Amino acid sequence: MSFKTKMNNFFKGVKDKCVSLFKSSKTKVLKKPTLNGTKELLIKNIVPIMFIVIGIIGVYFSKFSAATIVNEMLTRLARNSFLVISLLIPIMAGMGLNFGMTLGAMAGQIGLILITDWGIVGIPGIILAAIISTPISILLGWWCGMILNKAKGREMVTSYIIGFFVNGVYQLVVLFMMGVIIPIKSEILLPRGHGVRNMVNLQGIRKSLDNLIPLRIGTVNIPVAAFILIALLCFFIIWFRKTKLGQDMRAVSSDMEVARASGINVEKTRVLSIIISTVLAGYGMIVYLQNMGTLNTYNSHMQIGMFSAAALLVGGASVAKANIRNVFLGVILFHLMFYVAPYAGKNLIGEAQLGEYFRVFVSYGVITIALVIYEVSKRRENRIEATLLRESTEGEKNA
Amino acid sequence: MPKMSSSKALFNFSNKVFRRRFIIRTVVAVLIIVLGIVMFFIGKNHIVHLSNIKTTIDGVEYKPVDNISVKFDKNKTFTSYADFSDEVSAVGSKHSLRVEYNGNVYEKKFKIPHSYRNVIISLPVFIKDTDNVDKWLTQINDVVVDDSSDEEMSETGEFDM
Amino acid sequence: MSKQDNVFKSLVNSFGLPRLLIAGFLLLLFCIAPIGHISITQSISDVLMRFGQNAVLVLAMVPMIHSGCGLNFGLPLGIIAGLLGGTLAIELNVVGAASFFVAIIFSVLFAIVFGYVYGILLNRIKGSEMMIATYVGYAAVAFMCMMWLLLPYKHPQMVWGYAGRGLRTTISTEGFYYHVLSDFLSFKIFGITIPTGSILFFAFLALCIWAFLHTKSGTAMTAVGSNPVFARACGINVNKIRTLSVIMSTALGAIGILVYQQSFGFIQLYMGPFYMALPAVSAILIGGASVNKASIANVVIGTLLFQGIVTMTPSVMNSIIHTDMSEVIRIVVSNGMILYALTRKSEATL
Repeated sequence: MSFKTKMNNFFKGVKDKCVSLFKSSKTKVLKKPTLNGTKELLIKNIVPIMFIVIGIIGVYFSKFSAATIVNEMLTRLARNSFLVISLLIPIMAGMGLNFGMTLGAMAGQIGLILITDWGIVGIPGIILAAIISTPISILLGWWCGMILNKAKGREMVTSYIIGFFVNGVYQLVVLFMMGVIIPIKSEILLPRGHGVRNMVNLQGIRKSLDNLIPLRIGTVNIPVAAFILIALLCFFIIWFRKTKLGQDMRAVSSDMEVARASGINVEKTRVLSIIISTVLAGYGMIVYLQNMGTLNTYNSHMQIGMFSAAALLVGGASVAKANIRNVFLGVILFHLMFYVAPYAGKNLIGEAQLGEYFRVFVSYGVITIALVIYEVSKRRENRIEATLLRESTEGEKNA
Repeated sequence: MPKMSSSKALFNFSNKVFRRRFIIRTVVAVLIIVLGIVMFFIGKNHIVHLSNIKTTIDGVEYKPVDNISVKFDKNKTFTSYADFSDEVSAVGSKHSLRVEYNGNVYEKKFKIPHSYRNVIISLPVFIKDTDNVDKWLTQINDVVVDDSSDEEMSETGEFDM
Repeated sequence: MSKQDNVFKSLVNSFGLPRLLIAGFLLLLFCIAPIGHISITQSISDVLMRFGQNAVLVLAMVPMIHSGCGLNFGLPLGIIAGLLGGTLAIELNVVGAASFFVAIIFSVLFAIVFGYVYGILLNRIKGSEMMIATYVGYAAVAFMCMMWLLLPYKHPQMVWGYAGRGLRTTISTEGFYYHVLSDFLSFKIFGITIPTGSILFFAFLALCIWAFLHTKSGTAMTAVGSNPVFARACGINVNKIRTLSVIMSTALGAIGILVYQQSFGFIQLYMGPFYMALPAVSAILIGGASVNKASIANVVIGTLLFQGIVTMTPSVMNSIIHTDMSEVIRIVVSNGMILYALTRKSEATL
């Protein structure tokens, strides 16, 4: 079937379903009961609003200057946005938050470990790391997608556990095979002969991307090249939404059975969304690490999934709907809180440690709240639709 | 019933669309691999020690030369003093070295072999025997062990971003 | 295909390939042990000791699985209740066996409160319990991290000596309820130390759960778990039963961590409880449970197998290959088991 006929079939299917639902109420206008406009807006965006408040309080108590904050936020935007954007595609395909981006992060890290060992530096090093990470990401993403297809309805928990599982495999590779089966010669190898060190100095590629096109306004450094890369990614996402594959994903996310009936290979589409997301996560991890300058071999990838998901949710996204606006807003708000909390804690209570625990608590808390809000409102909407449906059929009976 | 396309096979080259896609994808894959190989070579970093220290090669002693101006690749010209060694980073394979001593200029364009990681260029030998690259360019085999790597993890060290 | 093949195949299918693999792996380890000069009696003692340590935590999974709330990834909430009870008992300077029971009483009180709120939350989000439970657990642990620093504890064995306030990261239970259960009535047979106290305690709790599941409320719980629509039609208050199961799970978690601490010897605060749900979840899954069905037998078998792997792998592997791969193997085995369970739609065995 050509693409056009497939799309026509899909929309026809949806239309038929709607028509059959509301056939009896041709004359009745069905309106969903909405709350008062502003109240609804408030509830829907409670998470970003909470974070704006926390951010303002935090900035005030941390006693930072505006220039420091702006500088830090720009750095963090350039560093983290790529990773958060990689989460958009699985949401588009109805797979929820892809905690399996950890897999992509691991692939990126393996690429970086290899180029550091070989001594490849600068932009060539970054490109080579990206090239190395791609096939690993594709393989991992494919495997992850296959497993998620077997756990339909529980994608988020499953991708979460997959992250832990593959972390074990990653440790097997990096801690036991590197140096033995995979030749590593440089000083990143542990003295005992196998295994990579805890911290790998990425001096070679440090800030290579950031400083490619340096720009300085006053005291503020702007990593232009990184932002250009992120902008390219955004254009890619926008273009992707309009392609056949993108439309397929949106169809799958709204109703799997209708999509299947209109000829879309649901399983393949879902797997593809995970593969693309994993590959992007790999590149995003490379962008992140070239800014950080040091690789925490056994830990960075585990937290990155959680923080990226948290940032996306803070930006107002939900498990079923996310766009680029959410990404940037979320990264700014989340990292503002993250950066400011320890200092505010120190100034407020005298304990920086408290601020650190606070930011961890808020990170997890925001994911919890966002998930709960999403689930509760989804159920509320389903209940309202069911009520409307019941009313319409009763109306048909009485008519 | 219309004839079923042979979609079960993995590589059905009879299908025109498949053939075209396969060719395009293979070409792209090969290009990327080539790009990777190119990057591998042009991005290789060597640590070069421009050493101005007394060395002995084949029984011949080369004494250090004081106060010479050295320019390596596109770096700034600096002065090398006797018994000192300066470290520079050299990326890629093609490099150039220019030394001025006693009004004479000694220049050479040379290649550093890819597998060399740490390299010593002996400046005295360079001055005496500029064209014999292998004489003044040697590899150090000892890997510099970075002992500053720490195993400490703070309480919430997991959460440093 | 002969009849023998069919029987064998159906056995493999019903028992589950991963479980057979794990059991086989453990057997292999026991066989290799003598080669590496690892004493088998010592190993068995260790495994039994760890069984006593962890069994109650695994038991805590049962009520929630039974009522259809899924795997209790929010176990840290119950663990925190236990931590609060334990620290409170020490703060009040209750020593010896009495401190253990005082700790239990306090913990269960806390657990009832936590479990009730947690249960109400889970009732609002039927169907997505597992994901949200994970993050509720994490957020609770992080919140308590802040609280451990701020709460007005004063006992010198628990508080940082330098600042005089804020709890230490690890607190020894020595002098309080250290080994209260494990050493109780423990005896040696054939060189194997059997921690009778812990095992009896676990057996007691398991018996309570088993008995409960055969009461009216218990069968209602099973009904809610297997078929909520049918249960509601029978007039059972589904939400109330689910909340009850959550409270029971949380309380067992609280008791479980106290049992763990008295055997282990230390109370671990701050980030200690963070990842503690995963071993318990994978243990019960290894024992044959599924996401919506679990029995006491699952708990016993699962804990034995899981702790067996965790104990044997380091010692045996270390002596043979001279490498400590145990951590990696533990991660792969436990998470692989959970993954296997999540991708299955079928019921459990045993």
